[in-house]
Amino acid sequence: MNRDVSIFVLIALLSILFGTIASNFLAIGGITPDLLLIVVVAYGLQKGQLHGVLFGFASGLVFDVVSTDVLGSNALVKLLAGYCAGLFHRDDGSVQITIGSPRFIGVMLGCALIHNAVYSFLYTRPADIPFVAFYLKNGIAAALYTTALALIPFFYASRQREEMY
Amino acid sequence: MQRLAEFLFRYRDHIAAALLAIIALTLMSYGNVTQLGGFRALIIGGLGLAQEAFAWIPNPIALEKENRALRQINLELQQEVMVLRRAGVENARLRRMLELKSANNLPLLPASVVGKTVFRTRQFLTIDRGSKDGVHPGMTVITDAGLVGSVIATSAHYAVVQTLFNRDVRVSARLETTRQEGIVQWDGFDYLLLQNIPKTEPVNVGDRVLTSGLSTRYVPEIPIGRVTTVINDPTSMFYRITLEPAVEFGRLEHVFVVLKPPPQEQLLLERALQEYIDRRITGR
Repeated sequence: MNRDVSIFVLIALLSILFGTIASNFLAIGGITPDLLLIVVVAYGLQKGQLHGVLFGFASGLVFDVVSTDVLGSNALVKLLAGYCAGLFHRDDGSVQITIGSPRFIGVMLGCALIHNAVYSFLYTRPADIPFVAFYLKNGIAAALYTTALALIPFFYASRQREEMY
Repeated sequence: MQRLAEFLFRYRDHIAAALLAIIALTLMSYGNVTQLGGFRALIIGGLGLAQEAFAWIPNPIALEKENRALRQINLELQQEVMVLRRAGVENARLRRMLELKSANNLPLLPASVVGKTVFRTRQFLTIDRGSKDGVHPGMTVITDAGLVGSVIATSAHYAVVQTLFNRDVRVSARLETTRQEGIVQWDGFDYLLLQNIPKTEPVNVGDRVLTSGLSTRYVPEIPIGRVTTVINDPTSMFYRITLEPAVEFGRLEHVFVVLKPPPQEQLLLERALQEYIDRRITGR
């Protein structure tokens, strides 16, 4: 496993841990961001569809085991996010170039909306909760919040990119 | 075979995605995997410990929400306390009035004050009892504290009470201690005056003044007030005595009507006497 992949794996584990312990502090109006999704989308965008799908599945499965969620639910939606992010993969080179480009934010928002739509569908079906209302509040708002948090690595990477050039 | 391998290689991304999606859906269909139960418990225990370690960190947004909710609850509780206090005071007052009703032999009808009218130097109350309840003009109105006034007009469901705070009200009264008779009238402000008490009579501050019963208007032995000042006017044979009313007219909410009409025969006789006096005065 090369250095990049190791860093992504480490960041994914830390985001799972931090998201589980500190979700209360990050919540605004009951909406929490999905930190793991940011890592999955970044990885998929950097490495391509196949890598994105595998990474998304694996990290989602770990998250399912750690959390009390239905086993396989996060694995499914994260692999879908990795698949969508991988569609926009380009052989740009370094991680800083990929994450430091505005394309990352656009892809992040799109993948978050799709990710949350599928997750909301899986969540509301068995409980007979109205899907549209649930998605509008928990899906779209959470996607925007997650994308807003993705600006942090974006700004960090874009500054590093400027320093490189 | 080679074509299949090429196909698989070319579309490896999508095939991998589809396969993993099927695996994920299969896992979801199993529901709670019991083999993971113990491992999950371990993880949850560990996370719980970690969360507890960071529990001291305040969440400003949650605290702000909690504060707002607590302030709202505090406000509601304060209003409830105010209502309960008022109810407690009213309860005590009504209990006292109930004691009066049971201790007294007079037929009493409870009524609520629904209106107050102040017209120049006259003060009237409107109560929610009328002729249909047996109320008639001339009846005495009291509270557990003392005399309020008398009924001067009635309708089917309401009555107007003329209170002591009227310039043309005169009440035949007597000192409780010496039984000396006098006349009580309003001083124009917040007190009553007891007139015609000769200086030969002992009068002390704090002495009670009651209705005398010599008048047809008011039932006897009803407290009117207490002596607050006794002034020895050198230009007069009588004391100038000020009374504090027994009834707090500013806080009247409930009263009793004494359902004992004035004796008609006595009324007619006194009216005839009044007419005789008027004829003598006018010379007709």
